[in-house]
Amino acid sequence: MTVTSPPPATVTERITTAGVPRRRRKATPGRALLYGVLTLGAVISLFPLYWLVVMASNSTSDIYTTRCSRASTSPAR
Amino acid sequence: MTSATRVMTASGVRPSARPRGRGLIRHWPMYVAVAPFFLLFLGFGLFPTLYSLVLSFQDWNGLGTAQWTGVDNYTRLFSDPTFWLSVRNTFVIFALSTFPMLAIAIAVAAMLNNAVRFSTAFRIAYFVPNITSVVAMAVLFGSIFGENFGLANSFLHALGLPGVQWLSTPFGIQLTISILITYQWTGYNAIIFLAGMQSIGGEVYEAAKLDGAGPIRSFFSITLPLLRPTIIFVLVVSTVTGMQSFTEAQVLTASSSTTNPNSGGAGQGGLTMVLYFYQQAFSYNRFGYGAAIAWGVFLIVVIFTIISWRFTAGKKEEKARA
Repeated sequence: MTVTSPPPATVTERITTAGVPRRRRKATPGRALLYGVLTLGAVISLFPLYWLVVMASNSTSDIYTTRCSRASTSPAR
Repeated sequence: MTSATRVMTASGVRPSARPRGRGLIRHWPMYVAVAPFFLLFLGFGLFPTLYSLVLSFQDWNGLGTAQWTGVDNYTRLFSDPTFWLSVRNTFVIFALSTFPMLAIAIAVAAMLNNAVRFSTAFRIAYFVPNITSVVAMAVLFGSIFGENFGLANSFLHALGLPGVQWLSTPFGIQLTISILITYQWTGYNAIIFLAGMQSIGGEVYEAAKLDGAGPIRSFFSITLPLLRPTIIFVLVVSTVTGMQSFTEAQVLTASSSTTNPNSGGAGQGGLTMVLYFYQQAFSYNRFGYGAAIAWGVFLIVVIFTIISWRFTAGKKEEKARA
């Protein structure tokens, strides 16, 4: 049921964006801000996963002694 | 599934005089087909739930015979300061997590609704925290919010701000748990809000645009009012899950409470209602008292859910009348 409902929405979306494509595509400051904020949020929500990888590639003593230097000094990497 | 079988037996059997036995015999493959779920539910769902109610009137340490003590556990519960502390902690964590979460989720959903490019990539990025393991995230947050070598404090130091004692003060623990819950559930709620926003017809926005409404005005005058059913749903679900928060608190405070297990860390700031139940039942083997706590938690969750549901639903009626 939920699988079948999205297609119409995307279809109408396509149609409306196709109707006013030139105005939509224009890089206004508002749209730049929109994508900037969205990217910032995505970076924040993906950061802990990145940090998980960093911690996994450091040894335990590295984590508690240095400011976790992105594993660049770690020989394990 | 149950309604389907019920309809089937009713239509097949109602004209005859003896409905029950014949329906059971005639449709036995269907009953066999649904039996595994119902047997498992009876054995591992309904029976333990009802038995915990019986247990809450008894004194039992897990071994030996249980002693019937009547409402002793409940009178003790009402005069237990630690229980009320755990209620208070739970509400603080709930308030600190739910309201920022709802605000951020609506904002993210509105932005995703407007973004055309990379919208799938953004949705995945915001949803990923929800599908990662809570325990793994709690361990990671324990390291990020560590006092001396944690990332959060070194970030604050880099900005020239003093570090926060995240995991050694009661309020710090509550703040950390709230940030973790917010982090985990914002994306999920944003996706639900986004689905609600996409079901709002485009012609309403077009009419508003013709009337000269800007994007901010149409957000507050169209999107928010028409989104109210979704907001009620999200608020009720977050209330029920927020009142029962356990994993985050248990994992985040586990390392600092080795001598007194599951006590909720410094000042018992991370002791939520369910964690207190867990501690009493499974660390101290007070199963009867633990069951009483569980039923107290149930009562509080039900009352508070009704309040939050009535609150949002009542506002909708006011709006409709105006």
